[in-house]
Amino acid sequence: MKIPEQGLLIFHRNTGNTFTMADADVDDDFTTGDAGSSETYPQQCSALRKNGHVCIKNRPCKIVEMSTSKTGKHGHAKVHMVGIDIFTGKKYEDICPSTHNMNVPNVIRKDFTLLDINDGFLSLMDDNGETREDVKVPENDLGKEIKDRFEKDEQLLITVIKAMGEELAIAIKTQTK
Amino acid sequence: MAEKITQELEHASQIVLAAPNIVTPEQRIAAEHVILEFRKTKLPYNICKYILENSKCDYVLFQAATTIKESVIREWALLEATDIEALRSFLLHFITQHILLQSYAREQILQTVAVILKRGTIDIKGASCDSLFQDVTNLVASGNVTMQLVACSMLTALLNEYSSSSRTSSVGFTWEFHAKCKRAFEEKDLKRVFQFALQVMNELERQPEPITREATAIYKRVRYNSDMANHCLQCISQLASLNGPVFPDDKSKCQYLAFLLGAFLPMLASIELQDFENLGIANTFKNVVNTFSAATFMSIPSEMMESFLHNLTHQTCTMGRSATMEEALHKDDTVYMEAYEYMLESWMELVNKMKDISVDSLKPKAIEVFNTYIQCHISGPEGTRTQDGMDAALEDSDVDEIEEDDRERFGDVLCCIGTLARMVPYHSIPLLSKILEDRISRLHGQLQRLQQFAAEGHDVSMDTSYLTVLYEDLHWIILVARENDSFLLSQHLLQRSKFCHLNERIATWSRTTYRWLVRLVSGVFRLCEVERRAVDAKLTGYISPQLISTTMWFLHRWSRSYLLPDENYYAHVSHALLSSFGRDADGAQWVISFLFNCIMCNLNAWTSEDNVLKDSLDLLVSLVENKSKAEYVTKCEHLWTLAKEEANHQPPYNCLPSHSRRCLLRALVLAGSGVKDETWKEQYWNCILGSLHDRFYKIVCQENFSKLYCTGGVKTQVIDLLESVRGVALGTRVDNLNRIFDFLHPLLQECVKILDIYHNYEDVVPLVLELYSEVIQKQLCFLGEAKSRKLYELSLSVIETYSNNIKGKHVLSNRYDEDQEDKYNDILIVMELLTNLLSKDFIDFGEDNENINPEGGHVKAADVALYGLHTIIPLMNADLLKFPNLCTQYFKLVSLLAESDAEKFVHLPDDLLKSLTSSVELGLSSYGSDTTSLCLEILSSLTMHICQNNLQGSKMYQSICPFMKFVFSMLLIETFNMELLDSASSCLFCLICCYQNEYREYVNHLLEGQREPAYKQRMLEAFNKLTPPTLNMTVNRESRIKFMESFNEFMINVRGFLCVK
Repeated sequence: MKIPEQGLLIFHRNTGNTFTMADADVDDDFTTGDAGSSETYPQQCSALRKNGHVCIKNRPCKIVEMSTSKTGKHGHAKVHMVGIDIFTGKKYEDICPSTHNMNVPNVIRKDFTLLDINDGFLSLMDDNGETREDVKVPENDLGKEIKDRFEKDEQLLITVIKAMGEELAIAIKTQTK
Repeated sequence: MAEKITQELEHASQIVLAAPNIVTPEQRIAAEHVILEFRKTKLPYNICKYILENSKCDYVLFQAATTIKESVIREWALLEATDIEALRSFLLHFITQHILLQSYAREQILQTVAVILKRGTIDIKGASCDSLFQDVTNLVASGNVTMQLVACSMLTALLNEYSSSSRTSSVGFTWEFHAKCKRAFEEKDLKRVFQFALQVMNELERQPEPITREATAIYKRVRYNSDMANHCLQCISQLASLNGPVFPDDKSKCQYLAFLLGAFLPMLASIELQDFENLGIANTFKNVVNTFSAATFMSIPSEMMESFLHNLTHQTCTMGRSATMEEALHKDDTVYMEAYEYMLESWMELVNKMKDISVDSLKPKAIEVFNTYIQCHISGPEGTRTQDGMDAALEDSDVDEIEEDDRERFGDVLCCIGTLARMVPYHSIPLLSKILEDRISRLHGQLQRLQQFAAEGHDVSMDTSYLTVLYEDLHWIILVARENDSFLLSQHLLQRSKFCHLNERIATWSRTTYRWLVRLVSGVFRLCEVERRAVDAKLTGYISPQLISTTMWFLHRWSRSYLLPDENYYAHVSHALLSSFGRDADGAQWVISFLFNCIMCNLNAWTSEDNVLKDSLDLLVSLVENKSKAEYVTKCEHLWTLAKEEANHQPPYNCLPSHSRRCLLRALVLAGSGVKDETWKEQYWNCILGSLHDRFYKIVCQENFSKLYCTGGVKTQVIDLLESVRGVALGTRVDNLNRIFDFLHPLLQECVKILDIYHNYEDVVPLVLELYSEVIQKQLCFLGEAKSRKLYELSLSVIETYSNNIKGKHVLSNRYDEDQEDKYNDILIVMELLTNLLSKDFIDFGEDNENINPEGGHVKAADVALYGLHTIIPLMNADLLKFPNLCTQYFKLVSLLAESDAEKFVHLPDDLLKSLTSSVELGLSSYGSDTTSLCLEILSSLTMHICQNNLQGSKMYQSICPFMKFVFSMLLIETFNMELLDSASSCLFCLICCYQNEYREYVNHLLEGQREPAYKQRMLEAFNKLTPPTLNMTVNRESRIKFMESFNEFMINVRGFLCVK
């Protein structure tokens, strides 16, 4: 299929520049730690949403289930949530009056180009050419897939997730260049 | 010889029936083989007779009967008529001689008899049922209960075999044959079977009587046996719905009704109903009311009618009370509720039937039913809900959000109670009004005491159950009162009804009644005020969110019909109503101002209660949606306060949950249409849209956005902005279209950037896509060409960005036990977006007179859709298509694109074309009839395109070719939903036109496969008729319709013998 080129041109003209990570003079959290923000911030329970994040038992969790209930027909709402620890996959549950605040972790996801694998650590490079070698090859099927595909000389992008001082590779993507 | 076979079979049966630990699987298989081989024996009748007479093993008897059944069908042509008759008579005789058989063996033998008869139904060889009926007569007359039971079993087997349903045994007859037999049986023998049933009943009772009395008499005897009682009650309720040619004239109908009630009502009076009987009794009432006309009812003796109404009322009230108890006790079995619903349905039908004559006689009864309902639902002293100190409302077990609200759960019941209340407004409205006022005063008092208590520094964590009791009372009163929403409407309808007696209407709707109606609503206002003050006094924790929800919902419904009513619709609107809520009254402005204040108070106090927010905002939207109301709204100060507070993005408006945030913005945008003054107008829009615009840029275009985007605060703000912008899009209507489009356009451009930055964040990606989808759905069909193009271009960039980020991506998620379908949510939204985009080709209200910049974009909707499909088709494998939403949306999208732009498919790369056709193949057969229909449409569009553009030989031509056979065999041989016949035949025609050679080959193949010469001939003729030489084999409307007609005939003709059950 052919996309009419003119259409694309118009798009670029309208927005000025398409935004890319490289344009933005980045030295973000991944290299400098916090960019002036804390690890968590408070949010009213009723404003949390499914697929968002929340801290349960001081662990950063993704909310996979959220429901409300009330104590008696004329009672006030409570939020019941099920979270999955974004690092360990462990399941947590919590119940909380919907007027209360809960902590929400700052969760950052970033793509890196995979350069090498050394002693169980990934050698990664971000869009600015900064490299790092402190992220472990995950001990799961994904880790195995990363190794296998890397050995087959595939160009890979690795998505790394970071929250509350922990980091983990969570997704793999073929680099299309 | 026969003895040896019998022994063999008995041995084999023992093995087959043995427990798994006694025999090996091999032994079992061998034994089964022996039995199956026996079933294939040629002319096995004598051996089978021998077995039946000599074997003591029921399983062997069962197999012998089965063998006879199968052989008779197989060897019908070889048998003499007398042999067949002898066989049948032997089998029936055998049953009567061996009454101690296991029931499965007996049923099988009887079924064999029934099948033999059925096979002979339309055959000269077949004896008619006469001789069988003679035997049955003898059995019935024998006076022996066992013999009579055999006769009944025989008749049941016969009915089953001749029925059209799945009860017919599968013995390899064609559909046509089944249908013919059924017709013949109905015409000839069904009545006699019925007479037999009656005769058996008479034999049991030994006293010939009219059937209705008989049924009720029998019922009284069997009602303590629940199995029998159910059947018998069913009979009674069926008798209650007797109609049709059974009655030669109206007089006989009246007689029958009198007879029926004459038996039914005394029976009812003489027994006390057991739980399970209520449903049957209620059903009988319902059938009586549904079946007989008002005139028939009027013709029966008036005492009987009075007694009928009395019983109806009495039973309704009793069942209503029991239903409430059932509800309070959370019983799983809801017999009383169902029975009560039947009774109320009877009332609705009765009122409807009688309204053309006079409903006066029903009014006292209506009051009784209404009063009982109210009593059951409120506390003492007037009500009975809290009897024995028990009140279900006080339970503090958790109530889950999935539990339906009372207003939906009891919606039907409430609606019926409302109808009855409207018949007697002079009674119902003052009653509701008084109880409402009383409860509000009590609530007010209690809350004041509570406040005083708190002010004096006491611990207020005390028992608040008395508040809950009041809340529950108020909740129900308002639910019932809501039904007077339609008081105006009913009056309006009454006026149009030619049978309406003016006097009656005036009598029903006196001025006092109207005044009470105003008082009722004022009561609800007062309740709002009490709640509002309690919130001010920091008593929020003691107030029931449920009650506020219910109140807001009431006001929403109420304001739709009463507030600023369009007087043109109602010829005689009461003066009391008009002066309170009409257009020229100050009252209306006051009410709107008041409601607005309530809404704002709720938004402030209840951010954590979804339902309160939702109902309050629904009310707000309904106030601003209607333009004449919106004008009043914009005159009240609260709107401007609300707009300013939202613009400043200060609490509570910055922490509303997402749904409420959208709804609020939508309402504010809709309200904009009500501002008439030009300067004010600009100020208003600037306040609403300008502030949002600024906030958006401040966050998204801030210097460090690319660095800060992932910090929680910024992400939350972005999510919040996306929701707000979506809310604005939702508020689009024709009069603000251009303004909103100009507002949205630059923001949508920024959203492409947001999508790119946040592509890894599954809580942001869907929001951007949803926003686009929403804008397209709300605006595209009204936009002129230039603006449409702008939107296409934006959509293309958004899809591109999405595609680039999803390509080759693999997130390993088996660590999470996630809801799988949820994971594909964004694909679903993308498909919705593309579908919305394509709909412009079908619905377009846009004006074309805008100047189109010749330099402008040339992106078309179809281009964007196709680009999107490139991303999506490879993802749609069999696993993904299993999710119903994804599946439907995918095929909907492809079929739309195929219809609007089939040319695009010709140039698809090979692998995409292959994925596409395999998904269509799956879709045709695997996902239900809606999907099948979409796939048929896709094939029609594509083949039509091939034919019209002479693309024979193209890649697409080749890849669609196999579908010709596929669709044909699907239609002819497999189970096929006849509702799809039209789209299927149209698709088949396109395929045949496109692939004529292949079609010819396939037809020859089918003909050769048909062994029976008669059928082969018939099939050949059918095919010739289907595509006669006169039919023009080009795809145009005319030929297609012709084909469709002849195809219907073809199907009826050929499917009858191609399909075998």
